Amino acid sequence: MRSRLTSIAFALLVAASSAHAAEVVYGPDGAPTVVQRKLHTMSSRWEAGLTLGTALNASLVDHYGGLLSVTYHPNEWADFGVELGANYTRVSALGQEVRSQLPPRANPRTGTANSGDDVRGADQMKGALLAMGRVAPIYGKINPFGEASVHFQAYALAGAGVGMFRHDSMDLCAAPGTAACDSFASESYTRPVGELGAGMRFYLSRTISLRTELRAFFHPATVVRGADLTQPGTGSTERYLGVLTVLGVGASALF
Amino acid sequence: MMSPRILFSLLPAAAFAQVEAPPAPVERVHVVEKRPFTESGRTELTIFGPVQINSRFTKHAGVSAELAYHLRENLAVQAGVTWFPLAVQSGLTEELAHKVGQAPVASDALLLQGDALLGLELMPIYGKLDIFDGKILRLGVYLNAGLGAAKTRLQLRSSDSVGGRSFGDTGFRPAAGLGGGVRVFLNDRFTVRLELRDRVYSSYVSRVNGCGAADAAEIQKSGTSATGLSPGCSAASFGSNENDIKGAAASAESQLRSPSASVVNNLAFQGGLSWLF
Repeated sequence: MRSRLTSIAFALLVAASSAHAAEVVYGPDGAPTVVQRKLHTMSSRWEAGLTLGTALNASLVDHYGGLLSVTYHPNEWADFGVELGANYTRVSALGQEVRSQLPPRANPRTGTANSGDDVRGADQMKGALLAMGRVAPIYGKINPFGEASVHFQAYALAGAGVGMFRHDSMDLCAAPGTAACDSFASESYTRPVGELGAGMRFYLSRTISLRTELRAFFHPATVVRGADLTQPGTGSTERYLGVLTVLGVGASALF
Repeated sequence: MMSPRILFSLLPAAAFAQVEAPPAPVERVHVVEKRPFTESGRTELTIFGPVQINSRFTKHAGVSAELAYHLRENLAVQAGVTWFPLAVQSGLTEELAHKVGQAPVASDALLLQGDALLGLELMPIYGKLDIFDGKILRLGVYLNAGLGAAKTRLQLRSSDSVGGRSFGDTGFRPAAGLGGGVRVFLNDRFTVRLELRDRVYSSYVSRVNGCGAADAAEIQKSGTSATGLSPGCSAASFGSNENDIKGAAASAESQLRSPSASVVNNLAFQGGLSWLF
C-alpha cells in the first residue's frame, strides 16, 4: 500500500514538475507533502571517538582521563569495536585528609601494635583496553533554537577487557615502625574489567557528533583486613567487586 | 489537417522551449505539524523513584509524587512531596568510622527524610523520537524549580551496631529544588519522565532530638537520670534502654561539639510515570 502511494506521489511529482517546476505539491488533505526520515544514517560506517571523563563515585581517588574508540556500524542501531582508555589519577583531597588524621600505629602507652583494615574504593584505574558493543534503539530530534533541529541518538553499551590498576593504601604504611607514615603501601596490577553504560549522541553534521555518557567499570578488587599497622605486608585479603562510575563528554567522527 | 510527420517534428522544439524557460525560484515551505494532543489546561500526576547519585557521605532512595497543572503547553505549576525511606550514611562514611576512626562533620552527613516543594516547570524544547524505526513518540525537554521545606535527621549509630542504625531528629530546613529532564509521551494520557533533580537544603546542625551539645553530654554521662536539660530535650528520645541512650547521646555530642553549617546538594536521578487528565 505504501509503495503504491509512493508511486502515485512520485508520478504526481513528475507530472507536476513538467508542467510548472515551482508549483508546491499538496497531498490529499491539502497539506504540503512532507517526507519524514532519518537525517543521519549510520549503516556501514566507521566511527572514531574521543571521550573525556571524570569519576563520580571514587571519593578517595581523583580520576581524569580519556577513552579513544574505533567502532563499525553494521546497521542503523548497533556498532562494535575497541576502546583504549588512559587516566590521570591521584589520591583526592578527602583521601589526603583521611591520611593526615590516622590513629596511631601502636598503643602509645604499651607500645603494642594496633591492627587495622585498608579502606575500600581507593583503586586507581590507570588504563584499560576493551572490546565494546553499543545498541542505539532510539533516534529522535528536538528543536531547541527556533527552527534549528538537533538530531540525537540514545544508546546503551557493554564491554569487556583488561585494566591496569594502582592501589595506594589510605592507612597502611609502606615502611615498618610505629611512627606516622611517610609513605603508604601501594601495588600495581592488571585485572579483567567489564563495563556497562548509556549515553546520547547529538549530531552536529553527518560526520561530526557530540556524545555524553555515563559508564560503570566493574573489576575484581581486594582489600587488606586485620593488618599489623607496624608491619607492612601482614593481614588477610578480602575480595569485593570494585565499581568506578565515569561521566564522559566527547566527540565522534563518522566516515 | 497536419500530418503526423509534421507533428513529430514539432515535439523536440516544444521540449527545447521548456528547457530554456527561466529557472523557478526555490520555494521554502514551512510546515507546522499539529500536535496530536496538548497538555495545556490539563493536570498531571507523576510518581517518581529518586536515587541519590552524589552519595559521598550519604545515600538516599525513595518515592516522590508530583501534581502539576499545565497552564500552557510549555508552562506548568507543580507541587511535589518526596519521602526517602532509605536515608542513611554511605558505606564510605561507615568504613571511615570503623577503620580509621574518622567521620564527616554533621552538616555534611545530614540526611534528608523527605521534602515538600512548590514550583514552576518550563518545557521550552519539543521534539520526537522513534524506537528501532518503529512508532514515533513526542518528547519535551523541561526545567523546573521550586521552594519548600525539608525534614532532616542525623545517623547516630552505624548499621553493624547492636540493634542496627539509630537516628536523631534535626528538624525542618528550608529547601529548594532545581531539575531538568525529558518527558516522553506514550499517548495522550501517559508519559514517561526521566529527570535529574538537585535538592538543596540548609544543614546548620545545633540540636539533635531537641538537645544541644551540653544536653547530649549530660545524657551520655547520666542516661535517663540526666537533669538540667533544655526545654524540649528528653533522654528517652535517644533510645529504649540505658545503653542505647548513652551510646546515641555520645554520638550526638561528638557531632554537635563543633557546630557546622553547610548547604547540602542532594543530586538524584529519578524516573517516573505520569498520568494526564
